[in-house]
Amino acid sequence: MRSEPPASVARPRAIESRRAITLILLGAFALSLLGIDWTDGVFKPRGVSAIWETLGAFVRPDLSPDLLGKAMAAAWQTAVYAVAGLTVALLIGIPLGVIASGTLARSRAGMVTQVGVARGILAFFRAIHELVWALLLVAAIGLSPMAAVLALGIPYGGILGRIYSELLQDVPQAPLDALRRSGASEWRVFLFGRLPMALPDMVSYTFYRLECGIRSAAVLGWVGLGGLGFQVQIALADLAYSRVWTFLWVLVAMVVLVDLWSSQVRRRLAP
Amino acid sequence: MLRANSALSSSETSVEATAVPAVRFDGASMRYGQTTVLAPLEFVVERGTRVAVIGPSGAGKTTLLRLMAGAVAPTTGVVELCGRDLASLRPGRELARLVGMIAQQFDLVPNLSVLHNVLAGRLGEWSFGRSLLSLVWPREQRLAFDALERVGVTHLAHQRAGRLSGGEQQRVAIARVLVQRPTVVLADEPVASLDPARAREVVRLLTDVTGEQGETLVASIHSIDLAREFFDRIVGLRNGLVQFDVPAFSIRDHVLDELYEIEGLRSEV
Repeated sequence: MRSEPPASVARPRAIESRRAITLILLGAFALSLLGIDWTDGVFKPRGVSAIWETLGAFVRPDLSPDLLGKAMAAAWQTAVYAVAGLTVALLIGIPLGVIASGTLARSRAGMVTQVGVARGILAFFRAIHELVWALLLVAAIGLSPMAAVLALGIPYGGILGRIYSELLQDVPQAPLDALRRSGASEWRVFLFGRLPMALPDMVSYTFYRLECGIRSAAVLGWVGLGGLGFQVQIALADLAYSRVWTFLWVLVAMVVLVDLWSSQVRRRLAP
Repeated sequence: MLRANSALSSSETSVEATAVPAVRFDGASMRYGQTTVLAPLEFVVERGTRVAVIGPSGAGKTTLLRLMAGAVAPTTGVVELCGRDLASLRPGRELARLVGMIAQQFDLVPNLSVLHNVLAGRLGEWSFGRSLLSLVWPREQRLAFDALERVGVTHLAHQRAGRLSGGEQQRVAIARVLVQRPTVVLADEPVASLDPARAREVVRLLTDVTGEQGETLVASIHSIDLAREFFDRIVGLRNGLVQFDVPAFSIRDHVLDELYEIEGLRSEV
């Protein structure tokens, strides 16, 4: 109560300055509208009709059997890239994530070193986007599936490891203490306490990453690595929007399938 | 001469071994900064006895138990279990053989089955390989099922621990300590979060099953009726001081009134 008066004196002034900033920003926005060439500047020539064409294709994708067959083959390739990439990501993320959690270290100094090194490696892996990894790897090993799988697996491994390490740290402590009191070493506490308690969240996040992996694998087509993205790129070059949407709908269907699968698994893992 | 001497000394040590108390506080105290949580305490618990520690909250009950569990070191003095100074023991197998603990709640791993939770009491004895194997194919199931039968929840063995009621969870926690087989069992407010009927069942179970194995039991408990009914000895704590330490049958009501009411009045002020 006693600290109330100064706050109520300060509040109107804060509101006033906030209003002033809002007005200035609105004014700037209104001025910027004057600078637009409304006749030809907003849409490029034939742009509006292209939008209508795209929207039409959105509801009327090309469903000819021939194209659907091609879409299935491309979807399969994208799914294989995503799953293989995620496998590489798990091989990187699980061990580095466990080390970066620092939960198995025997000494304080050991923990600091382990956590520091592991977190550093993980940060390096995920700081570089999968498309940049793809360009680097294509330059190094050529247009091979290996490049696509590694381009996905390396940054995703960095992301998974980081999340795993935090999930492993943030489990309730009381059950862990109980295990220690029954004589369990940190490794055994990890197996019987930390891992089971963190696992549902780890699995759930990994499924989310599989969804992202499918999306990213599709985009890898743009750098020439095949799959749905490659087909979309060809169809776009032909301005065949109905074919573009066929491939995009297949992509959406794949993500929905992974989502359904993930909720199945999560229901079984829930405590 | 020499023979007689050695015979004498060996008989002496065996007498000593049976006479070594389960718990001995030798001037052990606990201070955090300027606050005395537990005044220097001389305190002995004979093997096989069941001791209830009662007193208002903040009296030092939990500190007393944590000292016995080796979870904290006393500021002064020594705490011994079965003649071994706890300060000389690191957490691990040896300590787990001496002392086991049942906490208030939230002590089980909720995502693991009841069976796994009970077998966790064996983790101190198992090698790493055996522990790893047990996550998939539980080892020593007989031991776990025996313990579950004694606490009456065999039918829950394959349920996840997190899906059990509070009373069932405490039974599983008791089964885990039974599998651990420590000499001294500690229980810190084991029934604080249960309704009175469930609380009575669980305390009865706890005192029965530890009695069967000849284990020593020290439990902090807020219900005087339960303490009087199921324990051999009652220790009253207030403000870190032992107010009384008497056989359970001899406790008189006015002693209890004193323990609680003075504190009640003080908190009114």
